[in-house]
Amino acid sequence: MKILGLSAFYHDSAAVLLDDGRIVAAAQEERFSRRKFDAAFPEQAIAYCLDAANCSLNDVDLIAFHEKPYRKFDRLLKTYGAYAPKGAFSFRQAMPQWLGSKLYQKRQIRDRLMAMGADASVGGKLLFAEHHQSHAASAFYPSPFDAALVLTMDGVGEWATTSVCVGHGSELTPELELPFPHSLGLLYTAVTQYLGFKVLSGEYKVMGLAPYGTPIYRDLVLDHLVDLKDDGSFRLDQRYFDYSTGFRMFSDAFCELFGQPPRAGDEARLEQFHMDVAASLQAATEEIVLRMCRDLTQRFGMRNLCLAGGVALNCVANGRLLRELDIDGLWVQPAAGDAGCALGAALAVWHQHLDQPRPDPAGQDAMQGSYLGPEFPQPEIDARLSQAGAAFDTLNEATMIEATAEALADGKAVGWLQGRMEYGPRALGARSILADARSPEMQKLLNLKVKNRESFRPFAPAALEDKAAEWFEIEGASPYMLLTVDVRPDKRHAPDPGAQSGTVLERVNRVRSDIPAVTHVDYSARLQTVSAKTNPRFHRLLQAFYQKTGCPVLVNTSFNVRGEPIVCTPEDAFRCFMGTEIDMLVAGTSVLHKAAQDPGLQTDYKLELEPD
Amino acid sequence: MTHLATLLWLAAYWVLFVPASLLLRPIFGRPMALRPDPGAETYWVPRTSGFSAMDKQS
Repeated sequence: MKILGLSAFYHDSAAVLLDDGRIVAAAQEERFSRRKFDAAFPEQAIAYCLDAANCSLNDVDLIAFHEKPYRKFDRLLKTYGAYAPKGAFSFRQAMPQWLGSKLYQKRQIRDRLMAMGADASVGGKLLFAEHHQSHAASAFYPSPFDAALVLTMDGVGEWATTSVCVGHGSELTPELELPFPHSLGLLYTAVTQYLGFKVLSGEYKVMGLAPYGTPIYRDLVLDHLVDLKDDGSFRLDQRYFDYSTGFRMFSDAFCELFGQPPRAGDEARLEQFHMDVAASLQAATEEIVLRMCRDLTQRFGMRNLCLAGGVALNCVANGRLLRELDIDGLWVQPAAGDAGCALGAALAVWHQHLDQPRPDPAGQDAMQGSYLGPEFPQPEIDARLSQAGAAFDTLNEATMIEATAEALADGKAVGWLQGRMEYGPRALGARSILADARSPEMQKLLNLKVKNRESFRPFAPAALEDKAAEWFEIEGASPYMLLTVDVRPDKRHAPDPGAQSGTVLERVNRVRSDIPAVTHVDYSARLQTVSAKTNPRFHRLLQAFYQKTGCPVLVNTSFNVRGEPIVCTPEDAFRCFMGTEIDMLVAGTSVLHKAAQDPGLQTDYKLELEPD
Repeated sequence: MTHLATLLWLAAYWVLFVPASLLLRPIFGRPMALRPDPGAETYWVPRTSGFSAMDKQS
């Protein structure tokens, strides 16, 4: 039985195809449309999934959508009812959209699928999961656990902003929830906007900025913005927020509380105040998540914890959960944001609607390393690169690995396109830019000359799984880059007296460990462990680099520039390679050197992208 | 045309929606809590029923 899962019409649309409960293909629409967080109907992602499963839309048995539109509309109406008479202009903007199209999403989806070749019966195949049911199913069913507590936290679904389920085998039972407008995701987003970053894309930046600050406003957040109970449940005082019926996330009272106006956009100077606010928000978030998880795992007697929802991408909080919670296992869905709901909705149909049993996971997750997207056979890579005008050599694998490891050891930035594309926001060695983590200059160089992004943003390490514990304080694996861990003390350099002073750039440039390019200012690192099982070629490259240098760690950052979705095709990779100062591109076993390329093919396409 | 639509929507809001909301509030209360409740022990809301049927949009 084939089930197509869809997430669409809010942000980060995606499609997933299951065949008898097994994940065949999954991809986000943005990777094909080249529009970051694309919310459009995921036509190209669907086409890819069908192609990967070698079937047509008419071969699909059921189609699962990630949320229930009528419930969402109910929340919208009740929200305006609660705030009336405030909210007139927001009402004027929202209602025509809902009455014009959003209320008729079933018809809209049916029509779009019919335009793609589905026959008229497709409307009868459509099913709707609750949004947090989709998140919870995406967290539990592919997890390596037979039983677990499942916590999902995001901005908002229909009504729920946080939900708690208990999973046993193929059963997933909802137990508790926190309703809108009390949302940890929306709190984080409100502060993100106050700090001058973009909603839905700037949250990572706030998390990256936090270690530069001191959490001096933590109590202000927890005393005024949030009422946090002993069991981790909370409410937000809506006097400080405006997201329910306004055009801004926070209110004037919020600014008065912090004593400063909001930062005037991304180009405005980052002051110590902004870093302290980021640190305070992060500290409060960690306190809420820890308190919640500690109480819930004890209350429900569960030894394993699964997470999904946008808040579950907070890898710093996840790292603390792993270190400080008395549990046996923590698993975070690698596509924890709304893209992952396409998977969750499809899995909910398979296990809950159709009551199909779940095989014993036997300690292995079902995500296949999250390498679930398109791949390109070598002849196709070569044909596409030739068509793009690239000059390249196709080598045998051993020679390619050796040449790449040599270039990395020589300080080169390498674009790396291999195998199936990742599903979820992280590049995990299939669509990555790689570099030498030992280089003190690399973070600045990659941020400014390759990624075109803010200098304070840290880079993540990829390490050989069996060597990771020699460099980082970690037991076990972190295959999805969803945990921060500390660099081991014996790899750190003694802090100089001014370690916490100076400008952001000065602090970034201080060498704090043997792998400074991936060591954040607080000695943390967002680690990916790489195993030969899930990504053998990337593992071989790390092995070769290790044999050459004695260091089993590389910088692994997403293969894109600021504002651009991660590359999908060899052509996308070649354009990014030519538009940045990446020195070398490796696509399959084809190797491209910048110096050998036609300078006429260089395009500074970064200027065409809207910064995130 | 856009201005006319805006006026009609705002009129609908002020003439219909706001009075209805304010009139219903004394009967049903506000449809959602907007402030913390210092006396509450918990804010968790139990789910007394399972997930709703997937063939429904509500």
